[in-house]
Amino acid sequence: MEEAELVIIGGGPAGIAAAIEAAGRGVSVVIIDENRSLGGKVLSSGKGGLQIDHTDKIEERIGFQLLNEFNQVEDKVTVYLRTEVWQVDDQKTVYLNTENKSIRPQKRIRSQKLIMATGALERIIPFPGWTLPGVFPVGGLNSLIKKKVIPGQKFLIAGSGLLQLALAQNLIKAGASISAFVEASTIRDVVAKSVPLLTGAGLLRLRQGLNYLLKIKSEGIPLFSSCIVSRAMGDKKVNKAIVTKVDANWRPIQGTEKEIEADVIAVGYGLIPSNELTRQCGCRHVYDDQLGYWRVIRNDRMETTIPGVFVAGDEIQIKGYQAAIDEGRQAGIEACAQLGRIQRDQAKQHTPTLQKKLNRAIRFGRAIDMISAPRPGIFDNISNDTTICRCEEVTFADIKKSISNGAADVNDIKRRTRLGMGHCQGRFCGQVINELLWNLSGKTSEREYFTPRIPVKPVPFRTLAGD
Amino acid sequence: MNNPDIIDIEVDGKVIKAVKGQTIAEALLANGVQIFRWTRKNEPRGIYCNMGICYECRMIVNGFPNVRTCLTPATAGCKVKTQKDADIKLENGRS
Repeated sequence: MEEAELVIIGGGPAGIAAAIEAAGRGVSVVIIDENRSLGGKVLSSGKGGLQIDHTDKIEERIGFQLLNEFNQVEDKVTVYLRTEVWQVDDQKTVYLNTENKSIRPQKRIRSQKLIMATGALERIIPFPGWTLPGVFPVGGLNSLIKKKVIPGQKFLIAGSGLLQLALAQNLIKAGASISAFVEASTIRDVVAKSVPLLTGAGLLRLRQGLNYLLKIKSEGIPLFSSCIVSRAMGDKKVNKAIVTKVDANWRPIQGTEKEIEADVIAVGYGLIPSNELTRQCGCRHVYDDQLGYWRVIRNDRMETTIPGVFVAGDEIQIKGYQAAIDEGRQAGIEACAQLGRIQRDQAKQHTPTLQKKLNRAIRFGRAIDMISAPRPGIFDNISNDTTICRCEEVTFADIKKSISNGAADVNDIKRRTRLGMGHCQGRFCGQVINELLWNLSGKTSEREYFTPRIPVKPVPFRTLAGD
Repeated sequence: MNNPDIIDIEVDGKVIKAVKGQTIAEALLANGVQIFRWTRKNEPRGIYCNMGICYECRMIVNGFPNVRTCLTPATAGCKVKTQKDADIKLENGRS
């Protein structure tokens, strides 16, 4: 079995920063990433090597800086691209499945220290018709547009938060036609929630957001606030959206439905941590009521409740790439200290400045998160025929039936309906089933989540069987 | 005429143009193809998350089913087929 002092899962900003700190101090480092290039969603445009998106100057500068630093240690880092981790066991052994035929990494790597920097995924709220081709999450569509792939003629953008504004800008720049911009909150509400952003970097982002909004107005794009897309319509693909007014709790108001033409509908409610591996290997998590997601517990040194297992970046809590870089550095330094490469007091020297920057970023990220965090009324829009689990085609009616037949908890529903047992392994429906159950129980039950089962990603039998 | 950055790929027997560096999914969307797969309940599906998580964009690529086209680069001459889940057998064989 291959061995490494430090394995880093995820080669985005956090993972790269951790590798820089550790490899620079002589630690043998392995980075594993599913994508074809390092850099993650923010710093990579996916052409091989680190690619920087030039539309955001701050992003570009920070990206190049990080890339330069990484280039200096690159020869001490083993990088496995197009490779997934489907299990981490209690010996910190990492189990791999690779599509990369040229490098053939060992199927298992035993690590002394482990840093999980697996980033974020988009928060999903099902609605009738959302499985039709032409419906996208906002980030997924945005990466297409950034690569100049324009998959339709008439775009409708909906949801809540700042990502939608960025998508609208990119669509306008690409010359695409936007038939409506739909925001679930009232404008007043967004402004009120933006107050914590009125300092430093937050101010910059706010100004950018405002400029984006003004651009949408000046382009004459119809703007609907306090509205959601309540249904996507079409035969084999989307051709229109039903837009409905919502109350302050985001509950749809009957009789306010409006039909709007669109062959692409992008819906976004912000991001949530992608933490299935920390959950699978047994790190403790808490449910954050304000943000509406499970958060891994970590101390100031980025260590989880499992000694030697660290976390960094959006996988802990959403706060963007700058904070992810700081957390990655912190985790990398701490791994070095535990491996005896630097003295404990040396490691401590780095801590206060990083920590101060980080606390600011966390407050800032939290404020942005709270703009997007869905309100409970929106789940009333989910009808009996709405698909909840896309992979196994389980509807809300199927779930209710399993409950009336005696299903006692999330895992029981899963066994009875096959919810969450398809290819994506519950990554999307697992987010939603909690809320649905919580609503069905009259908001009295404890929040639950799927017990993550291995493999957390689908793998061929030959991989499971080992070498 | 001979732009080295433009390659041909085959989709359900028809040749379409792709740009080198594009994923299969990107090449399909750029050519107006939105339906990638038919589910067991015979519902159409296209690409969704575009980051390898949702597995909705699975197609048959060079004979192998369940290939995530949002992660797989388009290569010259590759053969892509719309996937019908009902026809896919459990073993990881060719179809």
